[in-house]
Amino acid sequence: MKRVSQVTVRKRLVTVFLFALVFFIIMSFRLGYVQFVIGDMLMDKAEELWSRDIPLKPDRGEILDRNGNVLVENVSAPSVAIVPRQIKNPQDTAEKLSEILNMSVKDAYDVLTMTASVHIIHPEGRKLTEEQAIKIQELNLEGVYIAEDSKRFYPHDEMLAHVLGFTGIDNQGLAGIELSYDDKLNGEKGSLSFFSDAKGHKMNDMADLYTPPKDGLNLKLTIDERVQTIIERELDLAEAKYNPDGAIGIAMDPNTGEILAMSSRPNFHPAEFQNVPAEVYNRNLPVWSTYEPGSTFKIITLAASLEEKLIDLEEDEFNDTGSIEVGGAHLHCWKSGGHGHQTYLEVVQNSCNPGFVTMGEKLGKEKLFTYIKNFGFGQKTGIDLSGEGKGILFKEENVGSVELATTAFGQGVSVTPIQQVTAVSAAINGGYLYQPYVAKEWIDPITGKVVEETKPIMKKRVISQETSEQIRYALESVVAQGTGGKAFVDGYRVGGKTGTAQKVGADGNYMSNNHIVSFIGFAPADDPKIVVYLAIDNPKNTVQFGGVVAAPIVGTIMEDSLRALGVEERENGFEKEYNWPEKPRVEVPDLIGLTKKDLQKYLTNLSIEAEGEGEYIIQQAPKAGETVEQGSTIRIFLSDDNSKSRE
Amino acid sequence: MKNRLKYFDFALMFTPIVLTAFGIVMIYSASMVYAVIKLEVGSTFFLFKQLQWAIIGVGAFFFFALIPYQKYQRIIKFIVLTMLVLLGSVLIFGNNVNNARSWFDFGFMSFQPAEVAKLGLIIYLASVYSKKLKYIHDFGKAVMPPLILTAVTIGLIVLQPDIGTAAIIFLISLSVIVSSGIKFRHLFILGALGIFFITIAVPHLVTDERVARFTGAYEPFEDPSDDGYHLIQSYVAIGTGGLTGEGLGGSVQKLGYLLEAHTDFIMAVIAEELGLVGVGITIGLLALIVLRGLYFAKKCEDAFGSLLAIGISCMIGIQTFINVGAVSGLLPITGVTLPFISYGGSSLLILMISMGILNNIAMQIRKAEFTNTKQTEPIPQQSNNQTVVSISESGGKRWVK
Repeated sequence: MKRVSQVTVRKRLVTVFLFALVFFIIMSFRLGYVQFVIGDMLMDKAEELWSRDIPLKPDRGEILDRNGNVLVENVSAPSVAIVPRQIKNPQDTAEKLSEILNMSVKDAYDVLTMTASVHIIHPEGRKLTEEQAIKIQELNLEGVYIAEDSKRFYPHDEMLAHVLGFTGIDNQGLAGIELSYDDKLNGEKGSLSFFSDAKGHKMNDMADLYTPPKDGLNLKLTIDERVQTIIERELDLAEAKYNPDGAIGIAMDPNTGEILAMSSRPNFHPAEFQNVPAEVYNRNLPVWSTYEPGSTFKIITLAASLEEKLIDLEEDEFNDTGSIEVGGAHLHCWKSGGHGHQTYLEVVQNSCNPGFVTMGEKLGKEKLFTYIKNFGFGQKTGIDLSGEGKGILFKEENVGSVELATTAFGQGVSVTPIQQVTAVSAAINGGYLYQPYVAKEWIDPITGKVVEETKPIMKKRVISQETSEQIRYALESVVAQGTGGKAFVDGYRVGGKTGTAQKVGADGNYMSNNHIVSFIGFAPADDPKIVVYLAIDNPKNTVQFGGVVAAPIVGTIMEDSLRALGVEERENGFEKEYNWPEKPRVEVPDLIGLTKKDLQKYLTNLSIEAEGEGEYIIQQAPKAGETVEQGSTIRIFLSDDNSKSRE
Repeated sequence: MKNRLKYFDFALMFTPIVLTAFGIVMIYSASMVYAVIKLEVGSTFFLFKQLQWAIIGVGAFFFFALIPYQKYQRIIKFIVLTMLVLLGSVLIFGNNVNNARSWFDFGFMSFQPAEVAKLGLIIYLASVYSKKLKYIHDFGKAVMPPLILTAVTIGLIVLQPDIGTAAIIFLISLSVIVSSGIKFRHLFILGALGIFFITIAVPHLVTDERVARFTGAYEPFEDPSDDGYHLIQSYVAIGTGGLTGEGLGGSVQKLGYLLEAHTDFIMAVIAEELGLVGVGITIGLLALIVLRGLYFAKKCEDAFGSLLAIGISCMIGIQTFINVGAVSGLLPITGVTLPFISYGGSSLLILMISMGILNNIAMQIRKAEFTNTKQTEPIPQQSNNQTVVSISESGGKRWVK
């Protein structure tokens, strides 16, 4: 054995040794790096790689009215799915399919020959009708399948369209409640995932993962289908009669803030929303639109004045000369010549502008604006519908005497219909300002149990119970004796206020002969169950007064709705003391001394009850000169002896 | 015989056997699904094949451990000749798999001559340079002649073509040559020559497939469906494993996502099933063999034994590095297997023979040391032990004789 000095070899060996060590360290670090630094990202990729998901669609929740009547439901709307690899004769298949699906043969051919494992023909092959689906199934084409899918169905068609909104092709909410509660209605997608190897073979030693789809919850609204139907009907009638630019109707339960009905014109069918301009389906006018409220706003001024005890409806008086001077400007009353000498109750009944100006002046701008804000104006009501407007108030620092005066009778402010409804509800329900809402309950579609319930949200106490009672009294008298007479409903004590607001044109000035006429009413006055607001934008062929156009419609809505809601008629209501002013009272004629034949000409508007025998009328009740309602009964006493009558 | 094995080195004796046994377990885990689905044979197909080879390998291991390594020097001409004949004939008679003639298929077993060439060339270079150590600075006389044979060997392998193995053999040769103590000046000349040949060769070697392998290694997500595919699958496997892995048999990536899960990418399966802990132990054991081998190379008084130990250690180290590098995206994928662990009969056999030789070197050194210390003073035995301990620590495991 040869022993050599190996100094160099050993030196080099140390180098090699160190190199080896370094390389092993590099390896370990690299592996650790791959394992931990990119680990999470890779885990996700791995899961994706292994699992094959068969998606399972959840059923979208139905939308019901407060009594459980279906407003929106789902119906089967199949889709055409194709597996290109299985299609043997694409040209032939394309021709047959294109005919049924209303698409060009070329487009169909392109789809059928694309590289994809499974493809759903979009959009022509989505949401098929039953006939289309059956036709395709009858053709029995290879590689063409009918895939189950569903679409929204609206049993009441256009009814409540703006509130409900609509869904897109994937049943995703696009507007209204469908959008704002999309998550809950939509549910969660489920899937059947199985782990598979690279070839798509199912891996048997790995458990299949069945994630059931979670169906969307059913939504019960505060809407009452019957009230909604009544309002829809009345809006349709109003549209036919007045050909207005628009119309708005809202009904609310003043004691909770629950919206019972809400509609507007122009409207649309939720299944065919594409057929109307975007501003029609995007704007839910009852919450979106803002305009000058006009006289309906006087309720707020009245509430503030009464709460502050600045006026007494019966005792204090005001003399209306037809206009009032404020800060050098003359503000006119709507009635030329004025209403003359009135109590403040009469001021309210007559909707007398100068009268309300004095109320505003008594309050002063700070107090008036505090009340206006407390009643919720100038901010969103917080209703669970999208696109709500805020309205515009004068900035308090810019309010001079003129602005104060006009605000007091509803000009120079801009509010939304829903703000007016909530504010008036607060004024008449004892002073509680509620947050309006439409989503009442969320119901599990399987168990039928209520999962979530919306409780009324009382935001603020704005006035006292006594003030509220006085307002009810005043507003009831408006309907019984004042400008709101056409809203009178026999048996139900309706209170309310008319409104006629001028519209501001594009040039910033008021438009002539173009008003939004409105009426806001409530009933029964002793215990209000419903508040109804109705506004007609620019009615044609009529005098544009709220009392003329809107009040009778609200009257009809009130009567039908209250009956539908099962509210008992009031028998001993204090309104019985008042007569229907629209029917002129007749003066009882002097019948004494006349013969029976002479009575013929009076029979048209009075009925006669006779006692005794004879040709001549010797006595009558009531006496001549008294006024009675049309159709009242006059009792007469007959005798042959005419001389008795002049006793 | 008992007497001969008396001075065996525990680390070098058992680590290869432990790794081989571990490899058999991992091969079974990685290949059972592949065997059934892809090859439509029994799930234990690869297990039993590797087990056969392992038994043969262990036999060879002990056989070669008992043969004094000095004897190879005497039959060096026979070794070289056998090697060249095998490499030459495989080009003509070899089985054509994937456009490469690298294998002899004897039906019951297949055999890869390039594996033989690895060990053959190490023995040859160790033998030649140990003889020429005295005049190693003479470039023309000492350095050049063996290089010609090396070039021929590598050339034959490139012709198969098997670039991966050729590269490994090149690196192993380089490590032996560098360690032999040639002048750095000569090394530079060699380097320049090498670059010269590579520049000539490269245009012929560059194929789209090979370029793709490079881009696949460095930009795997650029084209994840194709060339980056293997690496991404490997990443996914390693990333899934985390610290302690999914448990033995729990790999999902081996189910067809990782190609060659039981050969080239077995490290990815280890990572997925046993986590960083499993990977760390595997690499640690391999490092133990390499570093322990180099330790004995340094101890060895005999130049031939020293260079032989360097060559064998480097062979294992380089293969490990290239394999792990490919699996972890550090190097392009070249089809290099992980020593002792990956499936592959001829590879395992050659490794076991190499380890037998290395063990013989180690035993001779220890025997010499033992007798030396016994003769002079009895205490250094303990200091010797301490050295062993300190070096073994770098291998990741505390070790006492």
